[in-house]
Amino acid sequence: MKSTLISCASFSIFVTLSIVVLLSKETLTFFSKPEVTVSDFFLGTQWTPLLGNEKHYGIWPLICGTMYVTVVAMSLALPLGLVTAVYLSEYASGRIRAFLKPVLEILAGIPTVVYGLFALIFITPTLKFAFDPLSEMAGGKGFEAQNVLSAGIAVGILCLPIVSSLCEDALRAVPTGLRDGAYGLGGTKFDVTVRVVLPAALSGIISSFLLAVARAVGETMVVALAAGNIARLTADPRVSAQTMTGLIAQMAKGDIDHQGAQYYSAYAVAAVLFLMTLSLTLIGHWIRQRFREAYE
Amino acid sequence: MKMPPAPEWNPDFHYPQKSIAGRRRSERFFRLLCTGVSGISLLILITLVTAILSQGLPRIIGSATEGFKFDFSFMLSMPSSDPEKAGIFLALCGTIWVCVTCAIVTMPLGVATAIFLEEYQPRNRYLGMIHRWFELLISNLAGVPSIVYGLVGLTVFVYMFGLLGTVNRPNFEIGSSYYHQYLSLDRKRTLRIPAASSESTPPKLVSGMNVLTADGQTVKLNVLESGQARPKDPEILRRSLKQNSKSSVTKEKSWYYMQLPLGYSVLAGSLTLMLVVLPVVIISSQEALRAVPSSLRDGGLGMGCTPWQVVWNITLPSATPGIMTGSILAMSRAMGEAAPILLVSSALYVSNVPSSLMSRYTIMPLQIYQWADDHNRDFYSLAATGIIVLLVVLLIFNSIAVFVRQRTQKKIR
Repeated sequence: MKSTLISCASFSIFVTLSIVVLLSKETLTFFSKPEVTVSDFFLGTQWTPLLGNEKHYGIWPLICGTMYVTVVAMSLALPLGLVTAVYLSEYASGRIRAFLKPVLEILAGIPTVVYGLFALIFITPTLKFAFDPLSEMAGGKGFEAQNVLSAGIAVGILCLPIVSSLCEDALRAVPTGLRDGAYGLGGTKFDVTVRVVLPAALSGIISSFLLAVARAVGETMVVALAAGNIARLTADPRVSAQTMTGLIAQMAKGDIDHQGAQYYSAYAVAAVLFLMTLSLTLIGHWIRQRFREAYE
Repeated sequence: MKMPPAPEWNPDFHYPQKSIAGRRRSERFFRLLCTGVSGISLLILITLVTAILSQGLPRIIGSATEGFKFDFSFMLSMPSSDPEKAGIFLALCGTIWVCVTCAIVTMPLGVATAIFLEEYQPRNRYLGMIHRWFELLISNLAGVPSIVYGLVGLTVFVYMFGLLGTVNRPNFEIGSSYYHQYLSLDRKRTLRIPAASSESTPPKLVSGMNVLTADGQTVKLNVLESGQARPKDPEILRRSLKQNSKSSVTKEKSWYYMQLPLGYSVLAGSLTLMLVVLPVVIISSQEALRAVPSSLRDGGLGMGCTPWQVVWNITLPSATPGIMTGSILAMSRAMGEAAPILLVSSALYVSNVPSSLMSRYTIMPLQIYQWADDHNRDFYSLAATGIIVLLVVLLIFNSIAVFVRQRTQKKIR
């Protein structure tokens, strides 16, 4: 029996390792193409694989699109999620928590394509309604049908239940004895929460933040629907911009030559994406190990 | 015990003091902030659900202006370019095919890996290092974006590195048969002659040779030479061909049809989803196994059980509820994944319900994505209706998880 187990385990090991090997192999194939240079890929600011003579494969527009969406999403999800978690763990009565916690967990399991549609049918029209008159008064254009801001907001809403659920777990893991001690010293609930409970749960909170960032960076369906297909460096939240995941998804839609540089560029982008999320989860792991407060 | 030295007393030091009223005020403010922000979070999520429901429900239950009526045609109709007629049946069948296959492949593999990692801890120092390294790798792979797995699945399963031919001209097949196909003279049925491969040249047509019809009957062929008059008898006409009739080669696939590379098939999709959920299944099963008290294992070992007997008779039964719950939740995640399948399915060219592991397919989240991505805005509400169906399926699935957990828990305790 043990040999069966060993073969299953080694198959899993093989599968996981082959992912790393495959991504690096196809990325090397990409860099060996004549129209691609390593420096252009890592330093270039233009992603124009379709222009005949002026083909450029510079990854920065894609990275910036990803960062833009992630920053918008995190500035929504992290504060709201953390404060909701504090409310759930410190203030809410047992009945409210017993209702809200499962609701959050169900929401965390909703397929992401739902949030993409929500961005299209609700967030973008709302943004248009609220801000288009203003920007037209200032002489600018309104929101495009696909834009960075609505994609970012949708990804933020997607991350909200994840952040609040994980942070709540971290806050609940702080032993009651610590809280009681702080109350005994005359602290108000505010003092206890901010000075005692939050610092004690900090490692868990930060690692859940990092997990949310990794989710936002790797999110595909929302940005494929709501962020658009034009790779460009932009600071304007009203226009569309492509992310790294959006590029890979777009490749799936079109008919692309399976030997060409454009096809292999998806693998190079995926390798960069893989390294980004891998380093985020590794940092999160390290923080959990290094700063964990064990109360036993 | 030695006491630490007392800190030096500084008569000028005072703890910063806030008035009681000020502290009460900040306390009230903080409570208000927490409640308000939670309210906002909840409101956002309620808006999400309401927006989807208000867009999608009219297709199923009718609307207030046109009267309420239940209409299940959405669940039973095929995709169509007309939003009024399009339905999700094809994608529903595809989801069932892919998820069942994925579960059959993933669950034994994931649980076995978890048992090996958790119950057979290495005693050797170097093996221990590899063991820890591997656990770290798995927990990191769970955080890799699913679209990266889609690319991996595209190369490994769909194309198989291009080593075994292309998707449409596979080098390796089982269970396929080729036919030269002709249209009979009355243009009402097809006549077939078995062929060796897709490239074989059609044979010379001779009167009296046996040919097959589409429903498998054997009939005698009647060949008309050039210039010969058409036979009057419709029965003969139905099995007649001209000498110079054009033929095309068709491929019949039996239910066990298998090809390598796998192509855009159900099997390739399931294996790609396996890559996505395997780390999740391994981690949750490991946690379930870890939660079994070690005194149970020690008791088993003390009774003289072999390690495998301990695993099979003691650890695994007590961990089953946890393993089942984790696996079902992982499968419900697989059910909602669209990104990897986007790469490994040729969803645009699917028109039939999958009939074998090698059939082309589409799945619900992908169908929803295509509707939401359509230039025709009428498809938005169709996508919303699709989401409602998907969420209901997921809800049923999760309730099964809760039910299974409660039933199995009762049996053991």
